[in-house]
Amino acid sequence: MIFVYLNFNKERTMKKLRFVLPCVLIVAFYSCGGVEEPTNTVHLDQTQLPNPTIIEESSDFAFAPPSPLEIAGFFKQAGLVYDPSKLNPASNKDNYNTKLKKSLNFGVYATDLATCVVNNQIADAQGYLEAIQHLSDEIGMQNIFEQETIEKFKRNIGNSDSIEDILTNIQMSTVEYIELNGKDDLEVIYFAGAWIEGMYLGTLTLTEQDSKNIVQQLASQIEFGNRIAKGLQSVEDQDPEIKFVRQNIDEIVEFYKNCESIKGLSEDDKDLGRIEMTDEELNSISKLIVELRTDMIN
Amino acid sequence: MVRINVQFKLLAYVLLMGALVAFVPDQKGDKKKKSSKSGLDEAAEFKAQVAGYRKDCKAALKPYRYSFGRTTYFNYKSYNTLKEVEVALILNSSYKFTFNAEGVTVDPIQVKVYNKPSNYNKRILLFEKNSVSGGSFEFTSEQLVEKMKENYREKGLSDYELEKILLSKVYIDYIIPAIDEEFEEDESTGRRKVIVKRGAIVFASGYENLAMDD
Repeated sequence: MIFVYLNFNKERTMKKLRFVLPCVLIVAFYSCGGVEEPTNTVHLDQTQLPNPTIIEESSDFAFAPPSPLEIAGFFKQAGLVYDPSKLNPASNKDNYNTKLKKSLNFGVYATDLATCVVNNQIADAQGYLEAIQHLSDEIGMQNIFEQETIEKFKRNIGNSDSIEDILTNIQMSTVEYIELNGKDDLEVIYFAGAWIEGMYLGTLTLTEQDSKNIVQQLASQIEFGNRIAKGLQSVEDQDPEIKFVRQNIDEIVEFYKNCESIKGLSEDDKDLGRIEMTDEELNSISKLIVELRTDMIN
Repeated sequence: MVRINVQFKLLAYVLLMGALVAFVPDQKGDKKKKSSKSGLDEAAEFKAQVAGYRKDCKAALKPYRYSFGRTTYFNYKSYNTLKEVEVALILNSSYKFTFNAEGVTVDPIQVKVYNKPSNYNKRILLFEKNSVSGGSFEFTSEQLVEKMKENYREKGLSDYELEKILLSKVYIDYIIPAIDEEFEEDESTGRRKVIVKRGAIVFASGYENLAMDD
C-alpha cells in the first residue's frame, strides 16, 4: 500500500517521511521504556535537598498510624468512660458478607478490642479477640494469629500487661504479614476501619469531657484522614462501597478544613496547640463521623 | 531507479528503528515486578533479608512498646529521589524511633525528619543523618520536640508558649542519591536492561506505655 502511494507522489512522500519517521522513532523510543519519568511528582522545598531531587510518591501506603492500643489508651486517659453498648458488638462479625466489610470491621474490632483491654474488661475483650480471629480467617490473614493466641489470652486474664503484649504481638504480626505479602489494599482498608472507630471514640470523649487536648488529637486524626482517603483511592478494586467510604472520609476532612475556626489558623498555630473549635462545629463533625461509622458496622 | 532508491531508504529507516527499539535500555525492568526468573529470585531473597532487619529494628525499641513499623523499599535511579513516610503520633506521648539501614548496601542515603510534609516550604528540620548505609540508629520524640522548641524560641516565643508545642505528626524523608546506571543483557529477550540496584530501610516506632495500670 505504501509503495503504491509512493509511486503517485514521490517528492511529497519523501518530505512527509522526513517528518513522520523521526516522530515514529521518538514515539517508539519512549513507548519501549527508554525514558522513565516518575508517575507522581510534586513540587517541594528544594532548599534543603540536594539539587535536583524528585519526590516519588511510594506505590505502597507510606504512613504509620498509631496502634489501636495507643488510641484507646489516649481516650481512656482523656476521660472516656467504658461503655460496651458504644462498641460494635462482637456478634456482628457474622453479618459481614463482603471482603471490604470484613476488612473494615477487622480494623473497627481492633480498636474495640484495645478499648476493652485498656479498661480491663477482659471478658468483653475475649469476644472481640475471637471476632478478629474470625475475620482474619475470612480475609486470608489467619497467619497473624499464633495457634495458641486465644488460649494464651485466657491463661493471662487478670494480667493486663500480658494481655497488652498479646495485642501488641497481633499488631506486629498484622503489619509483618501485610509487608511480607504486599497487601497494600488490605492494609489501607483495615486502617480506615480502625481510624473511623478511633474518631468515633474521640467524639464520645468530647461529649463526656471538655478537654482542649482531645480537640487537638481529634484534629490531628482528622487530618490523617487525607492519607486514608488517598490510600483508598489507590485500591485496585474500586467498588461502590469503597467509593462511598472514601467520599465520606473526604467529606469529614473537607468539613474540618472549612470550619471557620480552622480556616484562619496557620501551621504554626497548629504546632502551638491553638486549635479551638466551636461546639457547633464539633457537633457537626461528630455527626458525620457517627453516620459513616454506623454505615460501616452495619 | 528513483522508486528503488525510495524503497531502499524506507527499508533502511525501518531497520534503523528496529535496531533502536532492540537496544533501548529496558528501564521498565527497574520496577518492582521483575519479568526474569533471576530477578524474581533476587527480589524475594532481598525481601527475606529485610524481614530479618525488621526483627532487629523492633528489638531495638526496648523498653518502649511497639507501635508501628514501616519498611521503605527503593531502587536507585539516575537522578536523586525522595521517599516520604508520614508518622502519626498520639499527643504528649513519648516515642522512640528506630531505624535499621542494613538493607542500604549500594550508595549511602540521607534521612531527614520534619514536622510537615515535603510540599510545605516552612517546615522545621527535626533530625538529620547523612551517609546512612548499614547499621542502625535511633532517636526519641523528646529530641524532636526540643528541636521544635529551639526553632520557635528563635522566633521569639515565650517559654510559656513553648510548653504548648505539640508534635502530632512527623515526616521521615529518605533521600536516595543518583547513581550511574549499569546495563546487562536480558537472557530471554536479548535486550539491554538496567541492572536494578535496590535498597531498603526499616523504621519502627515504640511508645512509652501510657498510664494503663489502674
